[in-house]
Amino acid sequence: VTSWHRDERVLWRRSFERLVLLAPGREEPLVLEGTGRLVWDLLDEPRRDSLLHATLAELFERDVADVDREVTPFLMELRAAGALVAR
Amino acid sequence: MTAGSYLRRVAVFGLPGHDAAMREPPGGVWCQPLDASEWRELVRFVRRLRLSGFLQAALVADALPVTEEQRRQASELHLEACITVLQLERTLLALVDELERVGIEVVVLKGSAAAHLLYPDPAWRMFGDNDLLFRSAQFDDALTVLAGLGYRRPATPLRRGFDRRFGKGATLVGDEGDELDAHRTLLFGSFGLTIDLGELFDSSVTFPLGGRQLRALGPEAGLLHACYHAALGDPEPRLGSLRDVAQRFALGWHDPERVVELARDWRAEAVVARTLALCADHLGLHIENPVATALADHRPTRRERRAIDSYVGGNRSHARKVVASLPYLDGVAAKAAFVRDNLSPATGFVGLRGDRPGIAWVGRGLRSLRHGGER
Repeated sequence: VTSWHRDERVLWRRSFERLVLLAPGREEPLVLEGTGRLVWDLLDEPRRDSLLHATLAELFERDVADVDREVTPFLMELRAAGALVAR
Repeated sequence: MTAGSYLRRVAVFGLPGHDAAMREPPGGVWCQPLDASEWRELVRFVRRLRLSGFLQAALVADALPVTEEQRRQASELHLEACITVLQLERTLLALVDELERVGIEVVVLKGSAAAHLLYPDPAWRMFGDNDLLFRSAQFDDALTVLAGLGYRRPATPLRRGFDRRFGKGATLVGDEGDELDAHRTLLFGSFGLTIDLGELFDSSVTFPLGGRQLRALGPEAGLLHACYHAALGDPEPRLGSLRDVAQRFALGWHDPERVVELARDWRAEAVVARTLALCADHLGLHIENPVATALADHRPTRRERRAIDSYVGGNRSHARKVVASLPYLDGVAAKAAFVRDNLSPATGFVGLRGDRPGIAWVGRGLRSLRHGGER
């Protein structure tokens, strides 16, 4: 994976600190909170994998390697749910 | 502080000048959250009027006082409404795909179109159904396509061809129980008869949804539609409908001269004037705009008063609307056809109304006609 972006077919709304989205082909909505919502907001335009991790590392004052380890499974999960597209 | 005054502040949140409204009344009362019973009342209003998006926006901005528990409840209320809205938008996309695939033009009214075009965040504007506008010539075909997708019509039309000629449209119910309003014009009766329906399509704009572009009314036609809905939709105007009008004025998206021109062409000056007065009465908003300058002081004629009364007065029967509509139709033939089609219901329509519905329906119609004629 070199870059991530939102699937443009996803329908979504912000709701207080949460974000609810309906991915194409999925019956149940997904609700994102905390870092999940932040990741969604950061992907308002396609982002390179490395840049996304670096941004999160800077925001949370963590090592990029730690962020990579924690965030990558989450990104993969959103991809599997049809919310994100990886290129 | 009462639920009603709190609700009004919710409904105007984010409009220019709303800060001044928030400061009233003096004495620091606005620093205190609602008590439990007033909060419960507020939640009932917010749910019924679908204002949870504005409540969310106001609370996120810390513009209104609230307890932690009240904030949690508001959050759950909004999340629930968001899920409904997303499901409706998914349905909307599927319907528009099917309709456009067979060449039927579709303009989305209110709901999703308003949420995406008018507000800083679509999460502000909640809605409970989808409203689609079709060209008169394609209306029957559209209903056929929608029937194939599981949308049935609980009430059959008054008479064959009525929909295409005089009807507002049809309310349909889908297999999932979702409601869909299929429109041919923006409203039934007097004011619906004078709208240039071609203009609604010719001046349409688009908004993005789910990776594609859907059509919505253009700024000027959209503003007038918002006025019709706010001024004539309910006897007690809905705050959300008035907010849509105020939002459109605040956006300044429209050409004021064109709005005034359309209002005159569509004989809707009295509707706009009534809307502006309702915004002042119910939202405390005195809209200053060239449209308001031109139309706010419009004095309704007797005919206009009678027409408005048929939508929001004490007698809002179908027959009353028919009588009030006659001056808005040109020519004896059109008037005769309108009366005939409206007072000679098809069997299916009558069949919904009691054991001896035909007689009851005709009787009610005649009584209303006489009443209307006396005024």
